Amino acid sequence: MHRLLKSRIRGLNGELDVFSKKVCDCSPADAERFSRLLSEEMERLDFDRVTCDAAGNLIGTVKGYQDKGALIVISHLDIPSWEDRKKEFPSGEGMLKFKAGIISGIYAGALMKRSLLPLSGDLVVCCVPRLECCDFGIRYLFDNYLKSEVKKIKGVVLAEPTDFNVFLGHKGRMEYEITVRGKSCGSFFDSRGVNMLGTMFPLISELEKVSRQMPRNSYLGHSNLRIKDVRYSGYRQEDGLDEFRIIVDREFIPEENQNDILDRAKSIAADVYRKEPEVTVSTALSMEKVKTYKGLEIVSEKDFKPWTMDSYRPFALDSLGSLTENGFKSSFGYWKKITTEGSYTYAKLGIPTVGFGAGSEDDMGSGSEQLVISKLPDAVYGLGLIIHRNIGLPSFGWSSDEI
Amino acid sequence: MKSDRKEKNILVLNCGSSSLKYKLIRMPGEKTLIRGEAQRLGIKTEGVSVITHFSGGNVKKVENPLSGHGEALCEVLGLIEQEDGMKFDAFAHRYVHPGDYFTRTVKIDESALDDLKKTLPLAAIHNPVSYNLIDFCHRRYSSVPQFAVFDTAFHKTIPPEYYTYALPRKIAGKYGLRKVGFHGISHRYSMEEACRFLRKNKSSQKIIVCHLGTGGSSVCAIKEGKSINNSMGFTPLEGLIMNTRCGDMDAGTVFYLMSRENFSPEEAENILNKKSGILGLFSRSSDLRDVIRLMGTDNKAKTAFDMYVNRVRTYVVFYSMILRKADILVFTDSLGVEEPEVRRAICEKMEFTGIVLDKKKNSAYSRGIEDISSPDSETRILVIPSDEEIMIAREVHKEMKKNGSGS
Repeated sequence: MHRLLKSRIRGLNGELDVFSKKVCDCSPADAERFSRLLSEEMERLDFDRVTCDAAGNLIGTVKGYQDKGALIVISHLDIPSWEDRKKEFPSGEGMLKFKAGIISGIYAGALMKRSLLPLSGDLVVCCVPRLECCDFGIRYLFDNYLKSEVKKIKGVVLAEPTDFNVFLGHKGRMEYEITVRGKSCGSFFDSRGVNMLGTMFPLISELEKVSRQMPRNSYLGHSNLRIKDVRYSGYRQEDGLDEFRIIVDREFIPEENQNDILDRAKSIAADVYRKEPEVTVSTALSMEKVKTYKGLEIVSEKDFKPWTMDSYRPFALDSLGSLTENGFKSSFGYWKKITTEGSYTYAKLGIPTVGFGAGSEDDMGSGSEQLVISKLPDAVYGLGLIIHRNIGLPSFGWSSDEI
Repeated sequence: MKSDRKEKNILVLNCGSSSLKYKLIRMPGEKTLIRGEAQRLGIKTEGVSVITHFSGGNVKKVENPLSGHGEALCEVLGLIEQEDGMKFDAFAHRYVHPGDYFTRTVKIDESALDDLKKTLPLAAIHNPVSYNLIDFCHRRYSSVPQFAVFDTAFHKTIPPEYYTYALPRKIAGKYGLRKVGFHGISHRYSMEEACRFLRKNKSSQKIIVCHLGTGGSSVCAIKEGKSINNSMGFTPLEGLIMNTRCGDMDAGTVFYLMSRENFSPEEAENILNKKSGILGLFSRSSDLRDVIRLMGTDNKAKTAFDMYVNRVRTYVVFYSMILRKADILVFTDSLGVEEPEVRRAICEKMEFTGIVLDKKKNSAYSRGIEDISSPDSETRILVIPSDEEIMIAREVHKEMKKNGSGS
């Protein structure tokens, strides 16, 4: 079977090269055009069904001959935030940090189609839009299209950079705001005798102290706290108070609880300003307003949950086995820097999820993209092996062409 | 493409995973008009896909990237119709393993396609390729009748005492684990040709056919026109030693190997199917012809040859026993036809089974069907070049006459 897949990969190489060039040349800032490029390729490669939902998720299906559980292959498409787009979507700067994931996902579907190997369930290849810290695309995909079209899901493979290893999780990431309100006079807090800018420093300093003592997970490493932005919104007519906000980008591990993180931030801020009689402190997850090129408007929390799937799960073992038995020197691992749609598929929905792809996390958005692109045939082959091991039918005793 | 002629041109299609063999046969005269093979379909090796097309005395090579069997067929049909000006009346597809869904040749319609789809996992590499081409023809050339002829159908008559494995019935039943048998089209062709050659009625004959190919090989016991045993099993791995397949062996060795080497099922299968047999024993080549050439000077080659022959003899003796002496022994396919040394060694000292070879006739065999048995042999020993495509065309022509397709 693996020889058949390998020979089919060789047959696809020319098309893969041409498509890779097209993807690299097309600006993903024009989401509609980019999506059209991907969907046209899926159709050309004979996917049985190609569709795009309102959130901009592009979905290509290779039908299984049975219905014993689908395998979902997910790659992501970074889109610019509302602000970055200067409120004119889809123009403005867009980012596509991992083109190899999109290309390998699509060509893994083509590989299975061309191999003609029967699948016990559908193979659903999804290209999912996302914003930094905001996984609106995957939520919409599972809550709508997949909920209605796919009865049972056997597992999810994230086409993300793993250096051909099988990754089983990563830290969570959330963005939250600490809002401090108090009565000032000419932007000065009376009790401190400093202006509002000076008033922020003690909290910033306290948060930085906290950031040096973050908890650690043995697989994922330390949590992380960064102050992303500080905003002073000035005097508010409605209540006569001044307000400033500190926006925190927080990576966290499975042992931490999101509500506890917000409560802890609130208590730190309250402690800093406890001597201010009229100061109130609140914390909340940041929200992102999203408008897709399909016209859908969503307001979504900026939150990716942490996850680690046990390596003894059959889906993980089978996926790794399919690679190591066929020449890959793969092992289990975890992403240290990035977040993925596994935050929703595994941490929220509990669907077995693994990651596999060419290149490392450091390659994402870096100048080494061409190097990663050159490894695409192996990435497609590896994905094909994982797909076949999980939803393919055994061909034992039948691997010779001639009977 | 249909015509009202009494003669019918049947295009026989035989798919490999990346190849398509074809033969245009005029029935009922069984005249091969055109033949050829498309290779390297959907794969890229050092060269692009190539179609080698034989028509009359001419050979034509067409090199073109072809993404799959459907595309190759279109190209082949273009050659047949435009270059040769030939028409055809039906497609005849060789289909490997229909399981219990089909026991005889079937005309393809929507219902047959639905049932064929259910057979895909039975031979997960071979069946989908054929199914896909049948489906392609059904959609693209809907006006041309097409038929599927099944490789395993001939063995449907093997009785339970020979097809059942001694496994727990519940497990065997759940997964359909039983001997299926293969090369049915070839075995049947050999049976028909042998009876025709000897002017015997097949319903009275007990026949052993040795289909000895450079790839796969099997032995079949035939009684009264029906297969009653075949050396291949649930898959083609069982039975004779083949070029890279081990054939019969103790299943315990597989578990031992898997446990000691930490092999996965796929790795173990790869060893048994791709690295064993003649290749495993001889290591320099998987081709028995190389073994024969070197066995005078190379001990490994000699051992490999002896093992190969002994395995065939084991089956010939076993089948002679269950048939209570065979009336006819047939050697067919490349090794069975081209290698007199193989036939000689298999028939050596087999007098107790009624098999006595005439060594001179055996050495002198050159082509066609010949009787190479000694006059005092109870069993007639024949060499019959295999022609599965003719057998497929016969089956289809019979079906066409029966249901009036294309007439």
